[in-house]
Amino acid sequence: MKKEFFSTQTPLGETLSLYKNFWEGPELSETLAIVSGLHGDRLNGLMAASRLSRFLGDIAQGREPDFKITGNIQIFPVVNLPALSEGNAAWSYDNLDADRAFPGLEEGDLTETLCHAVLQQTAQSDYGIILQTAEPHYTDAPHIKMISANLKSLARNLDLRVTREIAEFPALTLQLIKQWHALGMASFILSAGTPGVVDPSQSDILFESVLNFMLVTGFLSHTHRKGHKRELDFYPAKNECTLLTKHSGMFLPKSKVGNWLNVDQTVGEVVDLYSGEVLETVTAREAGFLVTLRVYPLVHEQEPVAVLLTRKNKRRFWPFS
Amino acid sequence: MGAPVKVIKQIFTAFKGRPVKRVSFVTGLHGDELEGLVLCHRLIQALRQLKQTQPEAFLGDIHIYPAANPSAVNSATRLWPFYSEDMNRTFGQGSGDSVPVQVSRALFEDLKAHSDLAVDIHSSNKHLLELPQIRIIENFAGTLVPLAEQTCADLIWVHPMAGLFESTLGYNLNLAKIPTLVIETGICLRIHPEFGDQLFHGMMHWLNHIGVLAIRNTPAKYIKAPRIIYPNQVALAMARQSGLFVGQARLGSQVKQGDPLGQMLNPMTGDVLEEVVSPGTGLLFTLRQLPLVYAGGLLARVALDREPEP
Repeated sequence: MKKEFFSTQTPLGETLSLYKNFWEGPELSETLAIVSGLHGDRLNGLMAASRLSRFLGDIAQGREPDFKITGNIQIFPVVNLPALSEGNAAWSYDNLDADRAFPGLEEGDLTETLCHAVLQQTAQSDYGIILQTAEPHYTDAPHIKMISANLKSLARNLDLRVTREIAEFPALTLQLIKQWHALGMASFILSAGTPGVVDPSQSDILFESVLNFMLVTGFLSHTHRKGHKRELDFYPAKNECTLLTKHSGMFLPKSKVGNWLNVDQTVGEVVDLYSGEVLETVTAREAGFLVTLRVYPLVHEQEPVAVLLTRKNKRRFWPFS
Repeated sequence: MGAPVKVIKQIFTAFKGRPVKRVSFVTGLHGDELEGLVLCHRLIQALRQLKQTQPEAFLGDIHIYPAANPSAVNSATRLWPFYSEDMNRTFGQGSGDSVPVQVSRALFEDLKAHSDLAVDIHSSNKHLLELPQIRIIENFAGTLVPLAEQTCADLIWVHPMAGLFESTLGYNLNLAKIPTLVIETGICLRIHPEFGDQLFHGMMHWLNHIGVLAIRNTPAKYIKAPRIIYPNQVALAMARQSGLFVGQARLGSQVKQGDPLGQMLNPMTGDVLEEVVSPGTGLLFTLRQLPLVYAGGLLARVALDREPEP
């Protein structure tokens, strides 16, 4: 069911509304909140949210007779609607990163009030999932991010193998996931792909991940399909290895995200813009899972071009963790 | 591409011996806030002249960083272009390895190594015009208010801590036991020479007061005690409807509750949506400049003469 949860007018008098899709389960069911579109250019999440809405709508309408909605599910496909309309990460009116604007304000600038409205709408939920992509200029292999290592067991319901702990840093307190975490919600970020690009294969992965979560956690039931808890590779924040360039120039990737790299394996090259000569070969300092890779070629010296999740103290959570 | 990112500082050292104190001025963390660049220019110009004519006046060290975010200053943008990163949200441990964060880290370490006191100068965003003021998080008020009282600003606003401050330069320097005053003045992308004059003389007066300079030439007209206000002394006028705000009050004026501040207009229909009036009696210290406003947007702040009844 589509429901307006925020409405205001533009200075020219047009209506600007935000909507959520909401499906109710039996009385006393738990609630799952799914949010995408915190940034106007993180499109894989939007696509996945859209597919989920259609799928849940089909169940509610009886077009998926083997499925049943058994919990409360609310989907917020877009938060920063003005930024989405512009095709930018943030809205040019205030240049405010919506995922640095939580908890927002009841009365304030529009982005702050949007954030406030979304937080208010989701605050009573038991679970929260944010769908997004890598930061601008990078691409992410599909993976889970979470603040609390205590959620490892629950993260297995998301059917993605790689889980990354979010390092604490001061501005984290302004992000939705931290606000949810502080409210006691079990919260995750699912990230896949590149800003500004819709990659159907990546949004499919996000869709399937959330679908599996809903089946295992009890928001959906199916006559035969039960969902499954997957083996999980959990990487603490301290195990992340960021690879920096030594030279400025054009970075040309020679690896792909989602691959395991061995020590000294080539990640990419930095070439001189004018001569085309290779200035540097960026290699893996440690063996690890290539989770993030630079896609925009121009780089400064000391620019991060890749993030490896390494196996120091790596833990696997399967099957009895 | 061959153009390095360099954060440059000007250094004025004590005339002889160990400096009594070391003070740093930082501006340009947001590249569209230009009032601080003018203030730093005025300070550098005056201190260079003083160094030539009266070098013994320097009892302490002064470091001035006129453009802490040179990429953003060159583009006149609030955020670090390309990364769209707000540099004043990148301070503190664990903020990553991006180029803006590396620059923030280097700036912070340099400030820590060379400062006993610091001043971080900002203008407002593109929406609001501010009287020269010092903003102080209440946790640090005990140390900072006595310092701020000597800056000749119009206001000292002591406000509560909030999450967004945790990643700012000012908060992190104060946390590192380097008392840091945060100035807000004017509006981005514009220069207000009268505010620049006031703050320039205020900073020279302050440097003298804290013993870093030994001079006595602050024009009397600039010496004033700022009004100190606490959270319950700030009254806000917010837009009840979206529209076009046309202000009619003057920033810095004394207003009474109910005095007209402006009108909210509907530019499509010609209707006056709202007569905006002062929410209290006191000093009008913030006034909206960007007319396009959404419901809930801030239009004005008034420093109340008297605390409201509980």
